Amino acid sequence: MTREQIEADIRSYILEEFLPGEDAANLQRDTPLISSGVLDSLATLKLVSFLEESFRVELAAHEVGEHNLDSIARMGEFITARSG
Amino acid sequence: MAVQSPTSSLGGVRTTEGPLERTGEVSLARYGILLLELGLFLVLVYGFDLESRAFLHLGILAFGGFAVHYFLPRRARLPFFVLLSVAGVYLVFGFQVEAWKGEGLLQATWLVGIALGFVALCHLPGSFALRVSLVLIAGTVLALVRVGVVSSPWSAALWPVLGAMLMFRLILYLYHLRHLESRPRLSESLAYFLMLPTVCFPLFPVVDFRTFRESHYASPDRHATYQRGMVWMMRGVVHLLLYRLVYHNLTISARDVASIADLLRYLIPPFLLYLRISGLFHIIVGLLHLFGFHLPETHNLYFLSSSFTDFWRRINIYWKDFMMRVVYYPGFMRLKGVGQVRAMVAMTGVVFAVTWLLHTYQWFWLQGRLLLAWNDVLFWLVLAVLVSANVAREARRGRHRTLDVRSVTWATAMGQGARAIATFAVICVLWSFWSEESTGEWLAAWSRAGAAGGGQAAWIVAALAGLSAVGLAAALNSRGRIKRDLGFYRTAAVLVPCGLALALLATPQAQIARQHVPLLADLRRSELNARDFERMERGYYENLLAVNQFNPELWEVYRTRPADWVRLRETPIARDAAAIPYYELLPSAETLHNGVSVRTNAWGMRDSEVPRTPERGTMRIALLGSSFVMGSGVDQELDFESLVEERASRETGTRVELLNFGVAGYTGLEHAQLMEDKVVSFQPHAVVYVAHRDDGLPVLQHLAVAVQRDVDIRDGTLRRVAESAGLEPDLAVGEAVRRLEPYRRELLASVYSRVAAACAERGIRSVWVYMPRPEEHESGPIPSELRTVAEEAGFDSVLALEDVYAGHKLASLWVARWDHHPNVRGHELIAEELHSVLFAQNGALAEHFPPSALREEGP
Repeated sequence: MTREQIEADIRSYILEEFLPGEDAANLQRDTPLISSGVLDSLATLKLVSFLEESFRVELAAHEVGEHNLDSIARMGEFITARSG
Repeated sequence: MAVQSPTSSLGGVRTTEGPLERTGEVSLARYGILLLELGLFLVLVYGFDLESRAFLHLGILAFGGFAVHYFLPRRARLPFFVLLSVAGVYLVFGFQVEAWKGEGLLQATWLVGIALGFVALCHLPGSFALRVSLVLIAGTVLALVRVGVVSSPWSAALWPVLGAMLMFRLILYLYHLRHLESRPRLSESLAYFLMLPTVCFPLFPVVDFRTFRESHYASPDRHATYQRGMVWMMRGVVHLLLYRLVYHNLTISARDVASIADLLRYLIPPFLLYLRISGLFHIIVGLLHLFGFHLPETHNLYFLSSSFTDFWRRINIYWKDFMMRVVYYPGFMRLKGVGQVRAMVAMTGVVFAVTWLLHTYQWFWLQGRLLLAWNDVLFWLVLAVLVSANVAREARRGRHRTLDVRSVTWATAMGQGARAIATFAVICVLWSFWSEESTGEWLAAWSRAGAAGGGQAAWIVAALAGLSAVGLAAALNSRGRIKRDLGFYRTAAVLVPCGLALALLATPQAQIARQHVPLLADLRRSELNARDFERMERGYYENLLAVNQFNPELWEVYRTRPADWVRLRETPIARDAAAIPYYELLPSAETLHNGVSVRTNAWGMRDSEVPRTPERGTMRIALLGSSFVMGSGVDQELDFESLVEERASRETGTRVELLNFGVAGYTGLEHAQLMEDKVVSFQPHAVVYVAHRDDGLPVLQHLAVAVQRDVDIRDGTLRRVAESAGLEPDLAVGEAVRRLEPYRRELLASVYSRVAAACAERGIRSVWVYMPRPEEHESGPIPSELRTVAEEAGFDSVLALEDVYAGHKLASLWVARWDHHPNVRGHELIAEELHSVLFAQNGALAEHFPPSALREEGP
């Protein structure tokens, strides 16, 4: 799976699960999600479950946070690195 | 050539540490504006006397540090920040405490040394588990020293600062050491533990090590980082000033609740007092921005929370992140097999339990004892239940989120506002419970208000208006109407004029405005309000911040008070006694007390030699009082007793003799005993009893101490009250005072009556004079209850010198910044006023003149 595909999947999930009705154009690759408060801790954990199930990776507790999950780009980079 | 460094994350924007030319851009215009803003901030700290004097000095150090830091090459900035932080420790502990010099420097060295020792333990060779074990062992030893089981050469002033440096930072540091990809540099570790303003703020935001490390010059525009810091520091000042307005004008105690309006005044302000914490945290993190740390904000419009989970996310964000990192996420990952929602709710409960435990742990390091109070347990329990319920609801139903706040409809916004009002109201109730020491008093306030009904309509209207304002602000915020970032120059265009306007309010020239608008005067009041002054009790955070109460040694360091500034009782001129008064001044002795010579006459008074019996034709007046009457801090011939004596003799043509029976630390308890045992034997024609606003509490405190010391209490009323209150020698003084509280009025009336009766029996004229100290909380009219007690006690005259300091800046009348006894000018003002009420036409003692009115042989 390419990084672009990973990011596209994540983007679709976020729009559907957390931002229903949102103009998709507002969600860019680098749109801050955790630091801006769009994703709170509950949403972050839901997202983690999605990432683990969809991309067959397992996240350790210390990997959950802004440094890896604050934007679609960071998530893409992190998942790509872990899958690779 | 560009210098590349590791990527870093902050504020949702992943940036790459730029080349020197990107982060090192020099703009003299922006530099000048930043220095101007920082200068204004320091003017505000000075003018409003914000926090401690030590913080002002640290602020000046930061000003100089920033001025240099700005021009340093990128690689030199972090080591420079470390040096500045160490200098801050020495500045506060060492150099500025003149009398400490050697001792202060030694203590500062201990402080830095212990912190470095812990950093070293974290990096010892060996397994991670071994290093954690060693840190735990060292921490246990430190705890034993803290409680006094193990002795040490460390001053008590060290502990709160050491606690702030280590108690949470070590946990996060070890956590990240285990997980970080790269080993931290020495300068990063030292900067983290010694972080510049820590030495002034025992209650410090729990800064995350990874965030701290990665935020350093992570923003591509360093001027934006500096400017954001300045905005936060100014915002912090505003929070602190608002705190003072609330603290001095709105707070009432549970006992004062007699209506619904009172109940609202009792319930709402405790939560508003949290402004002090958010204000300090804004200042602390803002200051760190000036040295390149582009850290996230610590609080985000927490009064506008629209749910309990939202509240948890907005208030003390660093704590929430700390809990998420070390408790919530690891726990959830282990539990998620039981189902997402269950794991979330369970871990929310665990987070609150750990939060409670760590608050107790924090209390231990800062205060030296554990906090085990039911209201504290219940507060966290109820908050845990509310947040858990919210978590379960949000996990199942989700919540409305959007990337474009402009798309939020007014209907949604108004719903948000309504929820914010409800959340605010519940938190207020909960917070008031947390802040109240006695659950019984809290419940009693509710039942009294329920039985009494309405009360003052103005307070009810104000409370409703306040709640509506919360709702409206929350609605506007949900539509993105509360704008944050204006850019560098536009921010400066707002910041500088606002700062200047505030600074003008703090100038001595604004004294007239402050006299006419009491709210403005409250902005400058840094001491306890009347309620706390009497009760010396506050909520959790209030207690932690009151360094002067929980750690006098540290307070003295913070106030830059010389260490040899001691109480008179601690000098060789005083000796203990086996009865009340339980200490007295030695006769014909001399000592240097706080830089002033104190000499006693043959009778143990700070006065000239006098015969036991007054000479014929001499008008003899005995003065009863404490250090205020004794003239603490001024030469004997310049105190108001000497000035009145000289002037009255000169103007009446009669030899007027004022005998100074004032002794530092004496209260009504001692005055009454002294009156019966000693004063009457000097056959005065009149006795002047000098009282202060808080005359009642010291009587309770000294009775509690007298019982604890098992001294002879000869007065029947005192013995009966002590017995009724259940006082025993092994009872802590604080608890004894609490038990005596219901008897406060009775005890005060008793000691006043004893003085008045001793006078009446011997035909001595008794005069009770209310004399405020030069303190803001003592200004204003005499408390009516105090006057009533004095009148009912039977004094011949009850006088009040309420306006004795009118037109003068109170601080200009203090002996020193750390000693608020009146100085020479203060004594002159008092002497003038006292002379007027005693000897002028219609004065309390005017009838004794001309001298023919005096009895031949004295009373």
